[in-house]
Amino acid sequence: MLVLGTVGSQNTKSFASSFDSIATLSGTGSSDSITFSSIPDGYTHLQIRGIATVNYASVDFGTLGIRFNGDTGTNYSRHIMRGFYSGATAYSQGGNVVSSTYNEAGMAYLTVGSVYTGVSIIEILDYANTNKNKTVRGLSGSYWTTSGAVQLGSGVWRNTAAVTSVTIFGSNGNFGTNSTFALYGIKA
Amino acid sequence: MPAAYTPIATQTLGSAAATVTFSSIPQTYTDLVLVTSVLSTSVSGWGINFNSDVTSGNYGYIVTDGQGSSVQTVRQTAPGRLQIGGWSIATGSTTKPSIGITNIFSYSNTTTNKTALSRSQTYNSTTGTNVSAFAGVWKNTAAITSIVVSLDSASYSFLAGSTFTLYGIKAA
Repeated sequence: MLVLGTVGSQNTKSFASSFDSIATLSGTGSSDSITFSSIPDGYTHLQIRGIATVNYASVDFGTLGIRFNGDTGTNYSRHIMRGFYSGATAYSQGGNVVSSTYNEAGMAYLTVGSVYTGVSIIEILDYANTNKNKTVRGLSGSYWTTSGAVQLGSGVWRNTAAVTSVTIFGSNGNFGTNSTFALYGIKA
Repeated sequence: MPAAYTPIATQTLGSAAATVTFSSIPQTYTDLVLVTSVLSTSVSGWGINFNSDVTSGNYGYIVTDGQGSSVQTVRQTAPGRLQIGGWSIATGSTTKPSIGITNIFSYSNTTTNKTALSRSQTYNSTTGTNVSAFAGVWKNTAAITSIVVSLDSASYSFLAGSTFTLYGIKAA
């Protein structure tokens, strides 16, 4: 008979890692994109965690685009929900683009070398599955002295190929050298 | 391959407490993730302070919050801490927790301010639930060595059963 009772002590088990660091890339100051290539297929999902500044002075924050396997065609669809400040006014907005050349999943602060940064968590689900299109989602944001933004994004790459490379690019200029993106693999 | 996502410390309250503190945080990770599951009868949000800094001008955040059919965005320029949970709906249940996941990026670097992203869902037994997303900054370039979690007032308490877990994520 199995008796369930209070556990007075518990052993610590050793588990195989299910969240592995694959690679980390940093901005160079002279390029508007970074690319993770030769991504191994041994995981279930991918996660990218990044902090970023982008060299562009026109506005306060910039969204980051993401593409897969070098595909620059109109094979992406994306949707965002965003809260942000412009001037002294708060905006809550949503938007979608049915046919796009990229997905939108992150955010950067638009002054290279600033102590302020944009931060992003981007997840690419079931990236190695060859029977379905690939979906991506992101949580990102930035806050600085005069404004701020927080964004939830999602999208699809209408392609059933396994994702073997991921390119992240700033829509408004080059990544600063204090920009860092780390790619992780998540096992089921 | 060494684990990249590691639990640093967990605190499960055995009795009510006004604050929960993670101190002597190791500086060997890239990011921190704080998972909170909050029980409180106080009508309150919850938030965090770094390195015992409670100066209001040193923090700021923006929150987009959904409740019922309405969405709002609010920016707080001098809140005295980073809010990480609760906005249009505040805590207020002894049994149904309000939950949050907070990501603190590049917490040990000493060249940039510290930026955090949070998502939360708050439950109040009278007024219902909401969902929120926060982006906030601690305007300080110091490495984060301690985190204090608190409710809106020093007289409010987290109830027994509330859990707080701090994870470290290490990049290659």
